[in-house]
Amino acid sequence: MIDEPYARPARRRSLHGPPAQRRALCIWLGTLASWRSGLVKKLVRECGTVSRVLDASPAELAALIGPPGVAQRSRKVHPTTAAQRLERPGAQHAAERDAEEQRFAAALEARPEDLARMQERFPHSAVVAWCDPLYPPALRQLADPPLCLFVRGRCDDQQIRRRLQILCNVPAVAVVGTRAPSPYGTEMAAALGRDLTIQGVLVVSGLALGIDATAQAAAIHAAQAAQELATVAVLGCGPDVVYPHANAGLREAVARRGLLVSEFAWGVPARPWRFPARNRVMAALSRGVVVVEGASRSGARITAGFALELGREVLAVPGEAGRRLTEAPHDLLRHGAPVCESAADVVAAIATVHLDAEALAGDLDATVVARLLERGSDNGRVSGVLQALERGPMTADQVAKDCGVRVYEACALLSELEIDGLATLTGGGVYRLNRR
Amino acid sequence: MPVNARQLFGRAAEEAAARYLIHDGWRLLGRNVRIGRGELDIVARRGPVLAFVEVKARRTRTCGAPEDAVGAAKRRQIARLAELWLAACPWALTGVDEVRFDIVAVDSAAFPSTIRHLPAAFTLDG
Amino acid sequence: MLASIASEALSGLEGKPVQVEADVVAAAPAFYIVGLPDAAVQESRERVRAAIVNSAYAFPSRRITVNLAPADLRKEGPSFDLPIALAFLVATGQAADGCDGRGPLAAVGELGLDGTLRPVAGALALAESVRRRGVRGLILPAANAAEAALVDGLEVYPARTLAEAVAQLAAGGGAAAPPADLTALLGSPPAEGADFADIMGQEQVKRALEVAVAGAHNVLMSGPPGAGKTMLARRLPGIMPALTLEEAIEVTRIYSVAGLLPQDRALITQRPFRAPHHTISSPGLVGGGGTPRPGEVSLAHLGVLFLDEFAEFRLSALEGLRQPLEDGEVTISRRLMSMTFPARIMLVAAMNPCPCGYLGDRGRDCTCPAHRVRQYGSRLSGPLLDRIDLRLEVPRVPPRDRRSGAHGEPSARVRARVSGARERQLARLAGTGAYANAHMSARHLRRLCSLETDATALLDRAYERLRLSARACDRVIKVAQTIADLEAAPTITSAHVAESLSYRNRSQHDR
Repeated sequence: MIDEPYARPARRRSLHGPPAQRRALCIWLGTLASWRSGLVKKLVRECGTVSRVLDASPAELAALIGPPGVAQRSRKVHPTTAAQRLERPGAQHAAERDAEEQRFAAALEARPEDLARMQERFPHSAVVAWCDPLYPPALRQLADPPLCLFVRGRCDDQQIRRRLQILCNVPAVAVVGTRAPSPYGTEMAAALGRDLTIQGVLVVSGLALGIDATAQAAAIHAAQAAQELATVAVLGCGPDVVYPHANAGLREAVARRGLLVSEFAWGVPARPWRFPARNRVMAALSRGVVVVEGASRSGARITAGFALELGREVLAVPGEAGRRLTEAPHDLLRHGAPVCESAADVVAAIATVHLDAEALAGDLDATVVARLLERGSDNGRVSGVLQALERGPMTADQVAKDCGVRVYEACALLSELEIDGLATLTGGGVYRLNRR
Repeated sequence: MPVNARQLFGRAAEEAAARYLIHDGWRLLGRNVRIGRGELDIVARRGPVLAFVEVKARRTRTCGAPEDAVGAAKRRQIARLAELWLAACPWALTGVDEVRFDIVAVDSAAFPSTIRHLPAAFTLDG
Repeated sequence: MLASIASEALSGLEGKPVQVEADVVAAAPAFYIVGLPDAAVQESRERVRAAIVNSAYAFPSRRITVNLAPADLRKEGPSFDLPIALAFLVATGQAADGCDGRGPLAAVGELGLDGTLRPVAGALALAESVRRRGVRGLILPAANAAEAALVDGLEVYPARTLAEAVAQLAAGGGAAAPPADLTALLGSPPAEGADFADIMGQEQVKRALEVAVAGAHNVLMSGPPGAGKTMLARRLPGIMPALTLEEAIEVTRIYSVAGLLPQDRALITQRPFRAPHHTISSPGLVGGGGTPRPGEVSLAHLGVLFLDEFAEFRLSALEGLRQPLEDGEVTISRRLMSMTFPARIMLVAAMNPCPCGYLGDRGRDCTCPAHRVRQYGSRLSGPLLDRIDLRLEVPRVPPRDRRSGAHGEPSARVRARVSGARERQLARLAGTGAYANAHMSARHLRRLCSLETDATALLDRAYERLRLSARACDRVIKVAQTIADLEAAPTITSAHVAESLSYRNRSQHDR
């Protein structure tokens, strides 16, 4: 279900099972998904929406998921980067896949509740399930969202919750690029990281060597003491795994002043096929992505691709003509991406992102309330319709049945509510009340 | 003067056709009428009908039946010549109700030769 | 010898008078036809020659010149076979023209090689032209007699063969066909078809379609696959009101010219329902061809044109819909002429909201990337969408709602209401040239629609709050007038305006 992006999460009324059970299910599925890629996508395709997946019982899900043990052929969602392909030769790949299948099987055996409790026991960390109020609403836009996020920060639980709250509300921008940048690229990344943070925009990146690290370091440095959340790093491995080793110090700094966020469970190692998945989470969390430097088939290009699919802004930093590292940004510029020379360009680009219709609705003002009251005294029909809509969004047919009026009368009444700004027609012919 | 066997054969065929028509009641108004570079084989009249007759003879069947030898170009030529002849001799049309283009085919493939008279074999417009 | 027979040439939807003259002289035999004949008319020579000989008449070798006057009008089609044959027979003294004193007769018809008369296309239009020019009667193939009999005050002489036609001519008109019983024809019961009651639930959509059909308003239905849009549209013929006499004659004329008139019926009494496939080309949809022929929009004149999978139609074809939706007619221009066909249609379009079809659906998520959704919607922007009066979301009905709903109203009852509303509209619109509320111009609107004060107030508020354009306001008033007509209300109340607003055309961005 595509819910409102960038607005507060709605009161979730779960129709089946207590919230705790759904939460446990989220964590269990999230753990399973860490060991086997594409799991969530498959489940959503079978059941229709994520809600429906969570409504199913563990037995049904186990049947859908299928038996463990078969070493999966490396299914490439997106081509991995050249660097990553060189790192691991094929045979090693297969052996690692087998090892992961065993972990997967172990997780499959466990009961969801046990797994959930086990995860909670790690220090300085939190697990945010899809159904929790603190789950970033922006991620719900994905067709296969991470069912739970494993979050780490070197601070107490209260502070972690506060930082998550900020993540949900503040606009974020992802700064991505190559692992081996030129001095110019490093300078640009640092400048962007610093200036965006000063302007109040959250910098999100992947904690990789090179551009990512520079941007995040600059963000941490520039963040004032008052700012709780300096930066967010999205990991391609479990939150306890240190990768890359060279960035261990930066990782500690991010944990202290920001958040480490991952969709992969504890102990999941970093592997090439997990990085595209991480890139999509980065793109989904942000309002825009800035590509600083990168080769033509780099991870940064993949992140930009995800962003375009999701309707996010993509900006590119221009560089010297003909160099290998400017291939990706210049390619994006050729296809119409705005030029990014400073943080001001980024802010200008994301400020034009479509705002939610509900934000425009405004509060009920006094004249409307008065008119409502006087109409309510004439015939109880308008208030009847309002009460029906209070129970939940419904189509005109359902309102007519609920209030016992003819369908064309219901249409007329809903129309008047629309004119007064009390209700809005959304997709599928469904009317819903505008919230204060 | 005919000089070879083919011309002899052609002449003989024309003679045979002319005798056939006379025997059939036709009065011959002209034979081998030369107009410009073309020639009308026979012009004949019987009652209210004026006929321009083209004679075709064949000894074998290898080139097809004699009738088929009168192709589109030849027909057009005959029609044109006939128009010219009528323009030159308007007296020929007095008392004439119908003007026709006929073909007389002399087929010598088998013995004895057969003569076929095809009345109104074609018209001006094909 | 010279002979002359009156005839008609079909040009678009009208007949143009033609005089067929034949001159037969004794000269080198030839058969010429002059007067800008097309290939089919040139082929008449062979048909006429064979038909005459096979009807036991003589075809003497003469020079025959046939002139189809006027010489600058293009003559097309085989319908001149009969007048040419009759003129030849009269000129050679084998037939007599017995019309002296009573006035000439006209003749049209195609001849088979054996002398039988075959039907021609557009006989109704030709018969009307004969009447208009003051000729008293028409000899024509028996298969076309029923059509021609629809024309008031025309003597119709059907003939099955050339010999019969000669007899009709000699007698100055022999056995005439009886004039058509128009009331009997119009009163024939509507065809049995799929019923509205088959559909469970979807009450709002059914109500909206009832309003649309009553006022001939254009509708756009948007919804996921399987919601029932096609099913609903296919049941529209069951609720469409009957044609009036003038309307029936207009529709019959178009079908007659297109050669689509069914053999057993002379008058079309059901409103047309055309549903072309989305691969149709622009000439097929709008009309065209070397000699312009009516397209689907004209075949749907005064009826419904249903375009399923609206977004899959070629843009060139959709662009061609602008003129019919705006003016109610289609003008097709060629190098030598331009022809106008009527095309006053009610457009019903059905589409998915996005490429996968599930945008906004409560049960399934849309898997389309954002830019593709925008792209999909933008195909139909601008003038075309501006012509849509009602825009409906057709959601999928969940099984429990489908099961719990009682059976809907049968089509017959809905049709009775719609017919009543249409009668009231015709009464109000008499003399304006419009047949339904949707065709009212802005001037008619101001003059003929009366709104109560609270209705006007509601409309003003809606104009401000919902940011309606002036054109959208006009559309809202027209639909409200239709809703009022359905209730037989003398004025438009605020409830009517409110209901009309719920069907208004919202753009994608209002969500």
